[in-house]
Amino acid sequence: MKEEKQVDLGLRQFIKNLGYIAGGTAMLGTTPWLQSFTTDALKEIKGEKARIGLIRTGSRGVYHIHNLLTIPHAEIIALCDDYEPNLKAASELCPNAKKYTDYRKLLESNEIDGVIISTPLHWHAPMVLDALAAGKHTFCEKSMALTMQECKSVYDTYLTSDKVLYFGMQRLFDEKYIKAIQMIHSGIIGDIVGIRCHWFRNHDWRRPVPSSELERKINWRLYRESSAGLTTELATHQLEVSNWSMKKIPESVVGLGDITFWKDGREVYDSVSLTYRYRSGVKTTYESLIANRFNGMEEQILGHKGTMELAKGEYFFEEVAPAPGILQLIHDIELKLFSAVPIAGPSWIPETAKRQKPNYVMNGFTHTTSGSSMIGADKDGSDHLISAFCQAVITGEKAKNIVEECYASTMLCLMGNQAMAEQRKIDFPQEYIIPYLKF
Amino acid sequence: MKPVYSHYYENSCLFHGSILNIMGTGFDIIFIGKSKSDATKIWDQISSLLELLHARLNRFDESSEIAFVNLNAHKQAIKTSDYLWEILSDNQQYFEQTNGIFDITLGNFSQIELNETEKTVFFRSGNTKIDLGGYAKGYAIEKIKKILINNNIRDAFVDFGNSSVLAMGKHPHGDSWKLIIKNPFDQNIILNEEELSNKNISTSGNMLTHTMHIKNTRTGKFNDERKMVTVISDNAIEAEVISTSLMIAQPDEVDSIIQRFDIDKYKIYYL
Repeated sequence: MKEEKQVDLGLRQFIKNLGYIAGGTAMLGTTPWLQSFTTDALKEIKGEKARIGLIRTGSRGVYHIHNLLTIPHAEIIALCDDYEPNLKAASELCPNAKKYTDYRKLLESNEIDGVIISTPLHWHAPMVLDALAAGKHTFCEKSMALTMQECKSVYDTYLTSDKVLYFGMQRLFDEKYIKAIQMIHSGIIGDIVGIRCHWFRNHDWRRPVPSSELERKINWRLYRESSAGLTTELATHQLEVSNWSMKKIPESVVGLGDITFWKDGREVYDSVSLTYRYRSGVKTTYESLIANRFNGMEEQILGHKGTMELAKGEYFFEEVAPAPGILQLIHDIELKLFSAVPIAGPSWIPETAKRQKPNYVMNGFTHTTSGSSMIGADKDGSDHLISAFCQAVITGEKAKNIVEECYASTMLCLMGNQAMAEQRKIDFPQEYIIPYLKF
Repeated sequence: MKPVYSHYYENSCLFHGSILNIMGTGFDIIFIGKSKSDATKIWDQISSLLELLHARLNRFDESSEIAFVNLNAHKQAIKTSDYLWEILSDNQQYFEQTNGIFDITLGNFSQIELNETEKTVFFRSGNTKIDLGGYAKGYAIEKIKKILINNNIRDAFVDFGNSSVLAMGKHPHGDSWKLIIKNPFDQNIILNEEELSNKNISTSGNMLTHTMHIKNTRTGKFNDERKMVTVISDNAIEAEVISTSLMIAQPDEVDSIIQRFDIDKYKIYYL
């Protein structure tokens, strides 16, 4: 069933190009988790396979299975789920994989090199700690954990472990984001003066439940014992991007959260408004509603000269749209490339419409997503991320920054929840500051 | 105040300045090798010069000398400023050298009387109007070139609405500046690639969205051919004059016109 087509070659080639050009090392310095994600690194592991076990095979687990089946250096050895219908469905996709209902038993298997954990949030920390203790390389979905204490415990354990640990921060592997953030860092939109993130859907966030005793198991997102709600499920990606573009972490957060529309017994907010403040005074606003989808999903980085819309891969200038050929020329020079640029031609008439046409981060077709899927979008970097993890399982090479980025954004989500629950400003707690964080 | 954008790229010592809407099009310049503060000062000189020329050379700006001349020169001879005299006498020469094709009055240049001792201009007919639209960008580029040289800049790239380009020195990672010339009727088709160093390239032609803007000064009709001309020259004004003229010139007069100018290379594309 395995397709012999490597799905991530485009990104690998892109990263290789970054590294090969003089000065590219400086650029890779700001995206160090990509350093070994090249076509050459892929050749070094040719013929080898990461033997993977999946812990929980719900919708996200199955999404990973589909990606794993296209990765030649991955082999699905084992599946684990304590919900029979999900285990059965996953088993049909990979019939040779051994089936487990207890993840501890799966961790005891010597045949498994790495595990992929796609469970409700409250299971992340205990399972990651158990997996590392069992000597397994570990990939866990975001966010890092349900509580701050658990985050710190995962981070501290990771520091002393010799195993690879990845978290599902797929934007770090999305070419569109990588390129756009580099453009922001090169100053194309000027100084960042504000960031607006939002994620809107019109959906009750529920899954059908065959019998009522399964409500809390299947709809775990809605209950505080298993979920931290919209922040850890959605905002975590966007706060990570906010920090990536700022190269800093916010110091504090204020916010309001309510159950406004879906009053169905759920315990997590369906309406969230948060404002994070960086030391410089730059603020990131995060808004999420799940009873109106008009605004969709976006991360807008606002600079004093322009605006980058990361999810759409489009950018705008405040007043002036330089000729596209000139922008290409500048990008080339910044990347130390010498190529021909399309400039000469008949005189053009400048755009005078109030709403500028967008400039595009990527040439050609770009995958974008409305953020409406509860499982994950196609081509959003998740496939590359899983491929990178499987490569790391073979080489044993730890990923740079991924754990730290996930730690930071999860902490910010949990601070946001605390700010909403207690209706007061929450500062980043001193006892949870790790050396990686720059405020 | 025109919308102006500028940015200094520290890693590459690259300055980029841009003005959205000036002389009817957009203007971009990049230059390399200056500190941020020096680059900003040089950009101030360049952008002020462009603002000044935009006002001076624009016949629709009622306060401009051109507008005054257009309004009054048919009544009496008007004394011109030094710069306007230079422009008018140069254009008399271009008119003659292009067999009357390059004409800033779009068909009436023979009605203009220039008095060299008095430096006055007189229109023999009342409907004569000077329009420097086809000349101003090349003129501005020549002035900008002087500012760049005076500031010891060797490597710079100036793009005036795509149609008038100055490629000074070289790309920081190459030995020239490389340009792609695309078919304006189909942007997927690359017609040519040029490598330029210390050269100007001027392009004239029609586009799908923008046809009929070049007037045949002999027939009074607008050109609607699917045709494009590129000209490479040491001099931005001459490149401009020739690219416009070759849109209109008869095939058998092209060579004789070219010989009268300092032209490296020209190409006529039938699209």
